[in-house]
Amino acid sequence: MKENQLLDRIKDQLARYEHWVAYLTELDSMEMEALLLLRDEIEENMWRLSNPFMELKENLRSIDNKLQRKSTLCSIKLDGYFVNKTNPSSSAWWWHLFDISDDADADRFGSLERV
Amino acid sequence: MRELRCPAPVAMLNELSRAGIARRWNHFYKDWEKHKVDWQSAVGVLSQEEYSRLPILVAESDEVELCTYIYMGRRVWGFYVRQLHLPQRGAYLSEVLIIFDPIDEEIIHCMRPDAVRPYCMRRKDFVSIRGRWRRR
Repeated sequence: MKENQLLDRIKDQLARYEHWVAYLTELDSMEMEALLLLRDEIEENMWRLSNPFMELKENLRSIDNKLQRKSTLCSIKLDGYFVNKTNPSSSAWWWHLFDISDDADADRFGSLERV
Repeated sequence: MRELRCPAPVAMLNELSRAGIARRWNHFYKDWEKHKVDWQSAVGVLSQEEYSRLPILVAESDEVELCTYIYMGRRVWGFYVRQLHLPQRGAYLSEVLIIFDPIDEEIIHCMRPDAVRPYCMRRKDFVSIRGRWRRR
């Protein structure tokens, strides 16, 4: 993928990330998982850019902050997600959040709150 | 009794098509609100009508990949198209994923997760139907 295509893709992903965060309280566990995957992919794509685009990084950080604020407000414990992202050996640690969601009676965020 | 874990591809596509036409879709409006911008760079914001037709288009696509897995204790069916043609716009949507509940016979998700394969393949008891679910 060319640099300008990658840049467009990142901008598109950021717009989607922001939109999904705005609907955080409406997301179910599958969508929440997709949201975190999207966020990871944005970061990965940013690393692939040859030039650091500070504006994009700022934009990502700003949406991250919104996500953290909102998740706190609606009791979704995502703090560990951002903390553990700094530790490469545990990069996929959060998958277990969803592996325990195999409960037909679990409420919408039950599995996420049981961290 | 209907086969849920390893259904015939034609049966899966027919059921999705029927559900799409009848608009059997739980939380359609909320889903539209959440996902209308998922393909914004390609076609802008999708109208309700366009969004509601995506399952029908996916069911008709030659390139659809099929899988089943367990989600929240239920066996669900996944339908994924890498490039979906939107005839009315003359454009393509990339990475369209639809999740269907064959017991309730309703659509439960239609969205564009970027890492769609890792997501589905990590689910409990993931089954690729006739090997059509390919790794990138």
